[in-house]
Amino acid sequence: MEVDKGKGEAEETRKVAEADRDTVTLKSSDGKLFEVSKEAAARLSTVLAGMIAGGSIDDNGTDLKQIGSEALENVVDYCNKHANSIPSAALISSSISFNTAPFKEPEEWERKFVDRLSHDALFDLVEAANFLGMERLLDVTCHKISEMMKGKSPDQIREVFNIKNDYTKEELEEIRQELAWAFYDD
Amino acid sequence: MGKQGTRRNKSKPRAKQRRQLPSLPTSVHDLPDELLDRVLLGLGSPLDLIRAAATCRRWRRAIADESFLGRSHDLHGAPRVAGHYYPHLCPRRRPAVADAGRPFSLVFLPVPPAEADRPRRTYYYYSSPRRSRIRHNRCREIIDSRGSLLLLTNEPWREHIDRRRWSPDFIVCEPVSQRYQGILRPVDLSDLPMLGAFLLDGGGRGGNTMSNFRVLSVFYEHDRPRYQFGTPRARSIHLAGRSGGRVYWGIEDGTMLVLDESTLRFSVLTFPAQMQGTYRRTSFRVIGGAVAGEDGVRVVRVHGEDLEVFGQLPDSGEWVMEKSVGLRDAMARLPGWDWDCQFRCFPVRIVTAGNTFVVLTPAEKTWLFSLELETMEVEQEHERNRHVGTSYPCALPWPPVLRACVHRGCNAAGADGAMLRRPRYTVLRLRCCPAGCCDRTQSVNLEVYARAAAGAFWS
Repeated sequence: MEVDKGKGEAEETRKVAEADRDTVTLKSSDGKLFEVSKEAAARLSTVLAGMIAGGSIDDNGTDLKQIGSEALENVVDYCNKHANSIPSAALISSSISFNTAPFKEPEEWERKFVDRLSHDALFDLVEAANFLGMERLLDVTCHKISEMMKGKSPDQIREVFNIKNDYTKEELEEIRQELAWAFYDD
Repeated sequence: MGKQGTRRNKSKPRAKQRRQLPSLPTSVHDLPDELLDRVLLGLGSPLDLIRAAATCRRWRRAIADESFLGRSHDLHGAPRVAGHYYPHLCPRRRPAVADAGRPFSLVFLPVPPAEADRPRRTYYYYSSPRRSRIRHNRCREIIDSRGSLLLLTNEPWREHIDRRRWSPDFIVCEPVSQRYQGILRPVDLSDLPMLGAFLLDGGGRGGNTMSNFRVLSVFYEHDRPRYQFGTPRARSIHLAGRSGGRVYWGIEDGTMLVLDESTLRFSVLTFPAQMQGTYRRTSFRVIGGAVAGEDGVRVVRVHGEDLEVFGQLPDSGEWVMEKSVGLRDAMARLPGWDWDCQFRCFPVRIVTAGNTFVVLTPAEKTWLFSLELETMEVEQEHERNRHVGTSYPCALPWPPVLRACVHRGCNAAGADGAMLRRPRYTVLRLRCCPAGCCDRTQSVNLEVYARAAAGAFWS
């Protein structure tokens, strides 16, 4: 125990050093460790901000059991990239006042960031962002998913998202009849 | 120290790892409802929403939810304008849509119904120079649009009538859903000149669809027994424009008649001396503010060789000239301008005016060009310069009505029933007294006419 305690003290000092370096360590469900800037984590994630403020950040890696390593890697990647692009983020938000866009339109780098994700990774990232309370990342990922739906026919949407058609043939016909103009080019 | 190593080896392949965690979601099915809502809220267009709602039951439930549709409307606003209708386009003189796709065609509208049971008087004005101009376009004409709805006049073919002496029947239609509703004119008022007819919000929750509209037509009754010199005649009252929930008519004696669309009350407005004139539509229009979504009122007019824009100062409400441009110089900058006729082509006439532009033509020959009010630059490339007349914007219907395969009790049907009982057609009869006060109005709504003339609606 003594040894452990000593180890704990050593950890304590290291923690102070780490606090100086402004990073936090996150641990995925499968035990991988990731390091992310404390400032960016607190700014982008309400959950992490609460943890940092409440002192519940574990230096050995704060356990995030619900998030897989791939998703967490993307989260950390996003935080780091976001930290590097604050000026343009401010610029975008200033242009929103007259832009009636539903979400704050993703910036170029955010667009690229979600574009390179696979289908599964994207949905995992949505879940992770939701769990961590990262509103902006949630906006960006959900925006990407709705972009994937736009301009597609119901069949194409089912194919893209692997959705099972749970309507009967008669119901589908009824649905198409109700608003026939929306299906005119199918 | 080993930790540092572990932390840094991000680049290790871990593609297979998530497969060991079957609890993790991998598809849109596993998103919780609030995230699904969030994704679906990104779909702004009613078209995308309707198609998404046809993929599976869960999505349809989410989209058909009234609070979801409300939030979507708050986020995206009303559906964007999908296209414009222009007059004079198609071969059979039906109004046609010029810049939108197939769902906006008007070919579904029936020909006007036979009028055998209703004697129809025809007015000819042989002395009127206007007759020759009216003849070609009297049959069916778009006179207003609102959201996804159009208001058309409905006349028998080739009947020569003076718009100001004969009130037409109407058709309200929604081109995309191919639904329409005919409205017969009130028989007892049909010899009164009509000052205008407008589509208004029905005041219900139905958005801009066929279940939520009102038609307002304004008739002018010249007070014959008390006629005196100075009472304006109908033909000296010109519809100047609509802005910020008000309709403006200019009377040639220099006053403006203003109708508030929500209260249906008339008032009289007098512009400062520098803005007064005959208020003819060819030289004077009331338009909206420069900033979209604001209720400002501006006036654009052709005065001599200048085009002038007037606006109100925000604090004092005083009218001042905002901009002015010399049309002779501006037109000379247009490519293809015919130098030979430049001196006899004044005055220039206003063809149509929007909040951001004015379409003009020289008086002596039709040669359309438009002026952007923001920059005061002239141009000829825009589609609007190819049609003589007002363009009417049309949008997709909102909200999408998703009834099929959605179980939501009897609420929807109840709301619809209540909607049908609202008066759909309001007639305002404006009497002008010799003194010039225009406040004696009479409002008659649908129920009265439904009793007076059975079958006042047809469809």
